[in-house]
Amino acid sequence: MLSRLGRLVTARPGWVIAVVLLVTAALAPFISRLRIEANLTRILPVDDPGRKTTSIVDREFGGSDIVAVIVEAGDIFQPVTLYALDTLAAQFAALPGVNGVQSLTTLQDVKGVGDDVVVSRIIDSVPADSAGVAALREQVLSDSRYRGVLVSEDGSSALLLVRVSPEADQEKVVRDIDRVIDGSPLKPGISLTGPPAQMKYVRDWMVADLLVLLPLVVLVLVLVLSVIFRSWYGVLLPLGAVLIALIWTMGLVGLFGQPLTLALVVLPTVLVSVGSAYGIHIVERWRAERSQGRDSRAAAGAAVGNTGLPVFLAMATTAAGFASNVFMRIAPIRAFAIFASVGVILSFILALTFVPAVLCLGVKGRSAGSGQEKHTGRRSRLLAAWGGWVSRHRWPVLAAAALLTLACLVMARRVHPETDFTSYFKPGSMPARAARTVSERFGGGQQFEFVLEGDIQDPAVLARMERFEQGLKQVPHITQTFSIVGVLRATNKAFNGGRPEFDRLPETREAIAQYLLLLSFSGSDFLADFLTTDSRLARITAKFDRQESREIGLAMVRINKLMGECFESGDGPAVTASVGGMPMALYALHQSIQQNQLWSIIIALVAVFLLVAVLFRSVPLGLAAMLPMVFTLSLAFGVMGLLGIQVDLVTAMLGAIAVGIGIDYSCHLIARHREEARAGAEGEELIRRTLGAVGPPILANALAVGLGFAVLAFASLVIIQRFGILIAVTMLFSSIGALVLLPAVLSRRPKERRTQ
Amino acid sequence: MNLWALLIAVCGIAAAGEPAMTGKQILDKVREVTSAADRKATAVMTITDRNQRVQSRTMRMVMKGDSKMMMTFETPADLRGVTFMTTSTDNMWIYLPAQGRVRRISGSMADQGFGGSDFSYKDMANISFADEPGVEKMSEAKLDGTAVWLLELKDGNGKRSRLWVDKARFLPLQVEQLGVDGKPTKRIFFADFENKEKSWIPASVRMLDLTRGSSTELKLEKLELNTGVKDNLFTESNMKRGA
Repeated sequence: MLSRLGRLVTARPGWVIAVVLLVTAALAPFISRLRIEANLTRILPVDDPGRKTTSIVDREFGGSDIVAVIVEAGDIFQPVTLYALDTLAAQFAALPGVNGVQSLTTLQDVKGVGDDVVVSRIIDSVPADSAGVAALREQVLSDSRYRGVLVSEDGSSALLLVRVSPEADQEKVVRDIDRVIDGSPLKPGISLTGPPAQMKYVRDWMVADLLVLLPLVVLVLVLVLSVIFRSWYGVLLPLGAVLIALIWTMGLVGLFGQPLTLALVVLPTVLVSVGSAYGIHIVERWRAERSQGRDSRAAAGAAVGNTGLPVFLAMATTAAGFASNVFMRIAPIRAFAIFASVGVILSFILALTFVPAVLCLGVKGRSAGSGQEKHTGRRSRLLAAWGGWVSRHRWPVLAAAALLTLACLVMARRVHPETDFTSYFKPGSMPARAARTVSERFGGGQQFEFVLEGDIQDPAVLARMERFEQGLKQVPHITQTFSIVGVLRATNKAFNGGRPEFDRLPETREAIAQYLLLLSFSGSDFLADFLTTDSRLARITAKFDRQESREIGLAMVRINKLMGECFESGDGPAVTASVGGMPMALYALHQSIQQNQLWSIIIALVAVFLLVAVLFRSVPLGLAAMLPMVFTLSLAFGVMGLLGIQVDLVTAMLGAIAVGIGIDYSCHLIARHREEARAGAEGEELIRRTLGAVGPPILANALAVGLGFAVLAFASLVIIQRFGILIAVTMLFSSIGALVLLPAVLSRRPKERRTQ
Repeated sequence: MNLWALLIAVCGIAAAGEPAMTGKQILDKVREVTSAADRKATAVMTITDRNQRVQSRTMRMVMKGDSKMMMTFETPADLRGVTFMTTSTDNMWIYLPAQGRVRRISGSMADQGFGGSDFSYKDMANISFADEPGVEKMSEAKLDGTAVWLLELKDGNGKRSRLWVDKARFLPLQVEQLGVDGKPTKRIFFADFENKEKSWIPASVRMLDLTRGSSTELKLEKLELNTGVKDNLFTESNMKRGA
């Protein structure tokens, strides 16, 4: 069938090129539709319980997405600074898409002053004299509701919490906030954090990385391959084909309206690195055919006919490796699985049609015996000798590989999923510093959201809420909690002349209802943040000062137990409680990665085994093809364990990508091994010939792709950096797997036959 | 006067149409036809929040002039007897029966939503347009087929609004409060005008908060005007008695 394709393409090369150009012209415009999506909360499936709770908070309480604006000013309690803070708060509040601002100068408070109940802002007007400022400092820093919440304990920095409306374009809101800050005298000391701001930084840096690094990856590939092959068309043509495949794939991503997430952003790099190999094999074979005296057209037809099968196998196994991620619960990884597989298939189609068509039409090719051939010959001899050595020392080689694999598997146990997105940024960068400042001085930039459903005005329900909040405060890293309970207690105290003994919940339903009515005069948001108008739903927020998945996981265990104790057990009125918020989203993501990653690797390995076993009609060969994969994966995860790199949203795909890329080498090696065996080679000679033939392109490909990915080490996002380095290392292991382990395994076969 | 002079004079009068009114005169006229020395009514307030949750409250209201008001809740049961009283813009009192005591409440509360509704306390107290906004622009328009004056107003704080006034009866039909960007933030509809004691009072006022997506309807029942409400009604002890 492939020979027929070869004949068809070489008979009508002009038509093939015309069709390719037409499809490219049709799909390219859809690339302009691509939009980048960095919002982690939208990554989770809609039926995720945490996401459900978060969307209730969005719908009923005006949203949970908060941009934290940190103002470091040496001393906040200076009239000029306070005035500038107040101006900032007012300007933020007036921005479209902002659902309210909490700051020292905007916060409402209920106080009892003599016989009066005062509902007002903490700072009615900025004090102009030093006595007024000193009194304010004393008032704010002695009140635990503000100290360490909106003003740091030492009074040197303040926090403004800008709540973004759930319907708003978060990125635009952050841009508008940035614009307001540009006009503020406090600008030098201001930094932003909180999920919407962090997502924007991720997005901005992702775009910057993509624009700079993708061309750089291509350049490195061209340079490395040009040096190795000493031929422009041997490099540019396969790369051209894969770039066309990339245009088609990204066009399809745009056509289907898929957002470019962190996972999909790495697709171009992956595709360029993986897909270029198919064309390279065709060009290599074409050159070999040419050196045997065939003309361009006949050589192109023969190249497709002869190299097509291993290239097809390489493509099918790579596509299967990528596609195994379809079983991940995380939508962006699923999208990556689909479009990476499509991209690989398109690269294959173009390598078998476009590349030979161009070779037919325009490339002369060098004759046998040129300098390039001499180089290839030298490398072939070197690798053939290596093959001989491996064949002779197969048991020590296999034993060493097994030991290394075991050692790495032990190290790999230290690898855990990590969804802390502050770790995406370099430690000294502004987003990383801002996140740390908020954690250290203001009790954290993330919050758990609890939604309670029941008759909230019932004193027994409020008592349960109070007990729950007290329990929450005992959970490590929960720094502050807010709910209607605290507000009602403060109101009761204020209504009773500020006497401390009244700092407790009112005892009757009437008293609660009447306080709530009183509070409704203090500004709609004051109550609406915590209670729906019909008092059926209440919200509790709990600030959390860590972002690491492990800490969130530990807190979740305590929180779930506490929810069971406070709301599910005992008699009394029914209350249903659920938890959401950003830590929950990160935790769900963490669990998803943990549950799905191993499965996706197993599925990839099984798919590889089945494809190889079916196409080569040999179960032992299928198993043999899996061995270098297991070796590579163990080493890759071992290195991660050794270096303390955890599995994040991007490296979660590493396993399947490693299988997908690495299997190519095994396929080419196995195919050549059979070809040489059929030609009569045996034992050590068989391995020598096999490695001599496919060793150089495998090494060249591993070197080119490895160095190509290594370019990502210059990325501004740590998450992309890590991914690049890990893939580069994985390429190294894959080539070792193919050039050391697989020859050692395969060298058993002729011996077996002989003994039989 | 010859025939020509008479014709020109008649045409001149005809061309002028109705005697021209200034915006201020229209506002004064609106105030004149909607004002009363005092008012008593039972108000049924229906609040619909942006998620379509509906709450209903019933209050007895007594107002005198533009500043004195007392409101006592009748329903829901847990709010029965809660009384608000204001004797001037800055003096506001609340009686909570559950606590059995009256407290003066102060702060910037006059601008806030009344009892979770879209009406501010100010809105409740000043439905008769007692404010003194300046008229920036006026034009003639149609509102649901009724010929109206459209007044563009700006108050002392720089807040802008638009008022549609029925040309025939000088009744306020609709108000839009505008944000700093000139877009409407609240829309208020006045309907079911009742003519009592030479005053026109809207028995139905509906306010849409366009920012929050909520709405509040206020229906006045058992409306009585100019019953001779005494100043000494507005006392703490009367609050406890529920006016």
